[in-house]
Amino acid sequence: MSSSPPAVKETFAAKPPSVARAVLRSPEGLTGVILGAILLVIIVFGPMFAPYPPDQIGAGLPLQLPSSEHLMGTDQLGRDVFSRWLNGGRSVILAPLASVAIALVLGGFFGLLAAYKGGAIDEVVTRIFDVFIILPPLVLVLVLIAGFGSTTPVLIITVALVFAPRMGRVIRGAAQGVVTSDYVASAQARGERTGAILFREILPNIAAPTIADTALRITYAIIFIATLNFLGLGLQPPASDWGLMVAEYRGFIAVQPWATIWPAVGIAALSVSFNLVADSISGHITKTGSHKS
Amino acid sequence: MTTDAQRDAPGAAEETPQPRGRVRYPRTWQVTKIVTTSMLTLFVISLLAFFATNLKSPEDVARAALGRETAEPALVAYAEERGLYDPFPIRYAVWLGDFVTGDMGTSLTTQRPVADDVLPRLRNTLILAIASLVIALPVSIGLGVFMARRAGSRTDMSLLVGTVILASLPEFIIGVALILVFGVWLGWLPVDSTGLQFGNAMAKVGAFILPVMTLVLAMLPHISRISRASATEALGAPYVAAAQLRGLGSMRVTWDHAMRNAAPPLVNAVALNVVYLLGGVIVVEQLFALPGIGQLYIASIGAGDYPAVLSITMILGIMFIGVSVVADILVTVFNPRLRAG
Repeated sequence: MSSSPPAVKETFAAKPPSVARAVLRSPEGLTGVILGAILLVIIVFGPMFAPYPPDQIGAGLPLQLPSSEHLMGTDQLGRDVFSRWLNGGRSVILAPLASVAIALVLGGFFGLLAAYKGGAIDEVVTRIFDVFIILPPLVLVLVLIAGFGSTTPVLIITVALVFAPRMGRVIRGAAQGVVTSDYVASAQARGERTGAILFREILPNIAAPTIADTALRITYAIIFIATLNFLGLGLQPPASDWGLMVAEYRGFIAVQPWATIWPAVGIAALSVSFNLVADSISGHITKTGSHKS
Repeated sequence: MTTDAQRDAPGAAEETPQPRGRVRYPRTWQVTKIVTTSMLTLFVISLLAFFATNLKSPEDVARAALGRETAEPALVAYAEERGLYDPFPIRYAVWLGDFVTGDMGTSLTTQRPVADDVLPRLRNTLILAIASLVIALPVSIGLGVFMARRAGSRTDMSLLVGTVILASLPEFIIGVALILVFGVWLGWLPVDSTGLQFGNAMAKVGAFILPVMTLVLAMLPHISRISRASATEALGAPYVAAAQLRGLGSMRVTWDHAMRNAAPPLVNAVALNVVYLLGGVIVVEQLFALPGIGQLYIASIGAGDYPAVLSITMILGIMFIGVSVVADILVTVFNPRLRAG
């Protein structure tokens, strides 16, 4: 769980200072950053402050409305909703981050390679990207889950397979504007290896569009994986994932609405915060025109 | 899930490659290409789906059908009778032949023909999808144009932020919010779709209102942002200024002059949204317990009912591909550069 905050911090550190400043200066970006920071604190440290074990059945009477004893009330088994809520955010953020990270590595590698090598390699990679992009994402993921079972690793990998060609195409597009530049030519003249050129010359120069796209993909992945958990195809009860909690407590919405409301608010706030940041980054990029894709 | 829609539009990143050299009938060529591509896509979907639903060994499939306690010879006999030991390509061909002729196989859960379960539900799914679309399209295009006409104003900016926020919400969260407001607090509408099976005509219509509203709200931010972008561009064009100088009314200028030219990219973007909308149908049906094919799909995946999963995947695939083919052809027809010459 300690891997989530560094991943986010890295996102901010890696982009040129002007982008970070632009995000913090736009009201939209600032709201996103503050909201995201609050949620990350809750997700990382929240479990330590849970008043009850999240799976403790009969921590109170079943389906109680919020009280001083149970801040968010109790569920149909008398479990403390607040304790479950504090524990339920980890999977909502970690699985999408893992998915996007895999997709970034896969898509980034093939996208950079295609842009740099051109010719037949470019042709083949682009065709494969196109085939995967045409397939309807939800159906692709669902049919793979049907075949390989509904477990979190399957979920993470199938969602990564949906995103990899899309991220790869963005990265290839951005890299194409850079491969013909002088610094790449001089690196080639120095006799640098392909890997070094890809990652030391090209990658840093397409950082801005890549980061903008990655931030947006994280939003999509949060939505996607929360939806799959809601559909009952990811984590299984008694896990306390926000998406799963919404599905589980939806039937009691007329009696104890707060058990459904709080996890729903958690997911909404998380994806809104990432989307606000992503939107302000891409707004900044369009305004400064710092890339061509 | 409508989120990827704008970004992944096939034509968004690069121009569709034009035929090399002179082609006598560019439009016919283009339409042939669109149809061929879509058939290939459908083929890929069917291969993937068939592969994913045939990972189990023949004995496991037989055991799932006949029960855990069945003796080995019975399992083998069952598998042989169904041709489960045949090589993959042959089984695929046999299945494809059956599917094309309307035989979707037998459900492992209900032991009934899959078609009997799927076809009645398809009607509910189509009502849901079409009703959402008929409402969402005019509303979101209208909103987009409304924003474009006052681009940069405070109203426009707050609506833009509003669409970003709405676009970040998964369909099931939007649906839960609507259930809370209209079902639980106001008590105006039912919280699920039981009225569809047991209620009268009014209850049947009522059962569709919240699911349709959910899908409309899920599509609204995407389509209105796209139409705002195309409208802003079209409104800035010289011929719009010319039309205004000729003293034409602002409504006439906006809709007759500007939006007519903004239509082709919009059609493309809208088609993609329709494709994603069909994905959202699965989520909404599940949330409202609405008996459509999406709900059956999720239940079949959970139960490991492979014949049903395979058939529904193909039906959804055909719906997706059908919509994009229609849109692609519409764009081609609108595009004056592809006139036969």
